[in-house]
Amino acid sequence: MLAPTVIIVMLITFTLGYYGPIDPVRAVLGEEWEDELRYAEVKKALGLDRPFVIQFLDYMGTMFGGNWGQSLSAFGGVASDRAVSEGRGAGFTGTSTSVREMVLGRLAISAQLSFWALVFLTVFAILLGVLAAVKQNTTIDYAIVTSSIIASSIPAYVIGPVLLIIFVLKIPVFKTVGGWDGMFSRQAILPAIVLATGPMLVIVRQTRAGIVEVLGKDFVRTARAKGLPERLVVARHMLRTAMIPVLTSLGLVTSGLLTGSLFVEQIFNIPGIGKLAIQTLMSGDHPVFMGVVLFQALIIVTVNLLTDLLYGGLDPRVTYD
Amino acid sequence: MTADASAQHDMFSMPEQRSLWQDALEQLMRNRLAIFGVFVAFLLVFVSIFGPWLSPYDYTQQNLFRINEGPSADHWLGTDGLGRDMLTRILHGARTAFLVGLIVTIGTTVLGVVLGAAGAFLGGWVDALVMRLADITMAFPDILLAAFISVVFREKVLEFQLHLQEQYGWTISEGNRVYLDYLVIFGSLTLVQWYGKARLVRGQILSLREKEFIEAERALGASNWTIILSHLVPNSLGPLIVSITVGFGGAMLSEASLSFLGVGIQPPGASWGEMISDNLGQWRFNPHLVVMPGVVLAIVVLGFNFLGDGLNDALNPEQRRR
Repeated sequence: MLAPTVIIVMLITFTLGYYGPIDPVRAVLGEEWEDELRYAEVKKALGLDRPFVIQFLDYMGTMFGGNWGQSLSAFGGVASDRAVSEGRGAGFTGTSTSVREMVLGRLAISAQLSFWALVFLTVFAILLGVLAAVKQNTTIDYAIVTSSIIASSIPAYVIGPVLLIIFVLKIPVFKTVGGWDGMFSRQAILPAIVLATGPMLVIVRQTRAGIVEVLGKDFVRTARAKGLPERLVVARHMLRTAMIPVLTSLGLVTSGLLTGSLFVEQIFNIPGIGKLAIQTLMSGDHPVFMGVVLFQALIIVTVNLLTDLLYGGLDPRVTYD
Repeated sequence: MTADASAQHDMFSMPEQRSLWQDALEQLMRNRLAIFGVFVAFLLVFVSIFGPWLSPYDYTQQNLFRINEGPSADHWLGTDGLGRDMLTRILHGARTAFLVGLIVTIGTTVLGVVLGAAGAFLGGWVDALVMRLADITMAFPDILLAAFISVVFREKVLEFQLHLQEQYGWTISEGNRVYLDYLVIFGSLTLVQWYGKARLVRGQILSLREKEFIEAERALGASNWTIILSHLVPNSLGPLIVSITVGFGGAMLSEASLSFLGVGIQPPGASWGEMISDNLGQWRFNPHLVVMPGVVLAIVVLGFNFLGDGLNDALNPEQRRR
């Protein structure tokens, strides 16, 4: 199922790019595009003088060949100037024009951000979920569930600025914000928290539901009967059983974080993969934009598949033909 | 039908008969968060219809002598970087959000129900096609796909409009350009968000079809249409209503997201997402410019989520959580 889906995704993005509003030749040449000679020259260099089918087959070849093509900035001109001024390129300020290097370099930054978000999630969301389950149907439970609905419903571009205003203006905890200065700098904390609020509800609910389900089970009663402190009953016996669905959903959450970090990156000015996507979409650098979309689609499809398989592996009741 | 119902009544001699809908309404009224959601929804409808008459300013009216002001008696929520009244723009943003929510929800529901039902009833290659289409749409990062589609189609729609203008003399004034943005957003969001409802409807129909009561009905010789109208539709309506409510909020949120990224409603059109990104540079100096549209967006999205949650508890009694 993987390969056909990816090929069709490729076809769709390629077609959209082909019929897209921004003429790549103009994006490269800028003002110079009216010079017919130059226009034809660049068009040939970009390979745009060939028919659609040939272009698409060629594109598929470069994608599957592992070399994902070149950014428009490789052809000089305005596209290159613009790329330099936006600080695009591989990694942070790299000047590479290879799509693969740009995408993978930016992905590294998004991945580091997502890693911290995942750490926040596993620590806080699971803790809150357990607490809500143990205090089932009390005010604490309702407060936890309601506040995680609130946290997850509000988009990052609302929570982000509000946290900035609170933690930079009102209570000056952070002095420098925005940009990216490596994984272990203080700049990474706020964006990671904002990114973690999105999938919070899923994890809290799943943990809560998992624990509630085992609350009255025999093995829990046995654990209590042998005199185990409640803390250990929850940690050793209940959590272990309840974690299976949570772990599988963490996979989906990870792909969601990697593909959904664009708003956080936009607000905190982090040069991650989402920011790259928006920059290249706006400037018409379609080879790079298509590379990002395709790569993210690949992540989504793979994680969905892995989750299905993992679920089957952890739960013997699920079978596949 | 009535004879059947009274016969059933006698057979089980139920003390009090309540329909699913009465029960659901009662459940909903008891849920305070859902009531909040209903309130927000009504307020949104009211504001999006009467918004322009509630404020003395026009949403594009600039006053460069009074930019970036805080709340005052003249401008209750202050003014933005071009001296436009924030409250007026927020009221107009409500109209944008509501329109997008409404039309995209209608679009995705029609598309989802038709495709999902077609897949479930016709089976075979139709079903396979619908499901593969859903898989492929799902494989895309949805906001990026919607952004891509809207960038591509905005240009096409503009070209088409120019074509109409040349051929038939239909002109769309500069001020009405916003409607093109609306059109593009409706299209791109519908194309990206239809699959949830299609999968839902298909799943509902497939699972209901195997239930004993349908089999019994069939054994009694009921026609296909009787089964569809009196069993399949009422039984799958509950989950669909929940999905529509949540989808409504989701569509409004997606519009705000696209406008935030700069590919949705273009200035000077008013959208909450566009207002946030427009004023984002001001967060340090005039935080209220960012916070106000943000808070309004958050309240509306929350309201719809709470309402969806409440409806889910009320309409799907078998999965009541608490």
